[in-house]
Amino acid sequence: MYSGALLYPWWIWAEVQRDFMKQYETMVLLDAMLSDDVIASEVQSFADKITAAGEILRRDDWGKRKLAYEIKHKTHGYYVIFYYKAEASVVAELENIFKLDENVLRWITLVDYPMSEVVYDKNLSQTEDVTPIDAEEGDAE
Amino acid sequence: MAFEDKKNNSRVRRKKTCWFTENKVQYIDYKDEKVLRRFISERGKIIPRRISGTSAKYQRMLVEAIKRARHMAILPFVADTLR
Repeated sequence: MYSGALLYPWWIWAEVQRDFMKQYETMVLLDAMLSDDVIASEVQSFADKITAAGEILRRDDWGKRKLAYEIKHKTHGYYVIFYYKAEASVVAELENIFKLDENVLRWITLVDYPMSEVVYDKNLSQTEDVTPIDAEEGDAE
Repeated sequence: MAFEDKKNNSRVRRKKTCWFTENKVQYIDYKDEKVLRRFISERGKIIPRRISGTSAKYQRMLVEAIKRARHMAILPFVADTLR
């Protein structure tokens, strides 16, 4: 990984490497029409890939949720968010898996993004009465 | 005459303030649908800062967050309210 491997004894080198790891955040959007077992096994396989060369700090399951627009004629999706520390190779590997996996509709990976306290509100996607900040002027064109 | 009438009737504008500055927000999260919904129009368009009053710094962050949310189908690209 780094040429510094020759400068450090192996027991210290392991710690140095861990410090070089960046924190990532990956949100995956799966097809919600799959059975619960398939979804669970898919998510578990992603988690295993991360823990192979890193550690998961937190995992958020938003669960099934209505999409804002149709993707591949699907109206509902299953959201999972992983917060983890891992080597860059893990991210590349994950993205490759997502590309090949037909059940994954969308994904996004962010580097060094602060861990949010946002908890998914199940009622929000149904209610449409969230008013824009300045409704009286509307769309000024 | 008409001109003067118009001048007298011009309504008093209150000062617009930045919502994020008031709440001392550190960063804008793309997952926070509740907050982002305030800054898009019914059609799903991003409200310009000349209307919403958001400061330039936060508008830049907001735009990025909204676009990320759209990619993940949290927010719509186009909301068809008229159907």
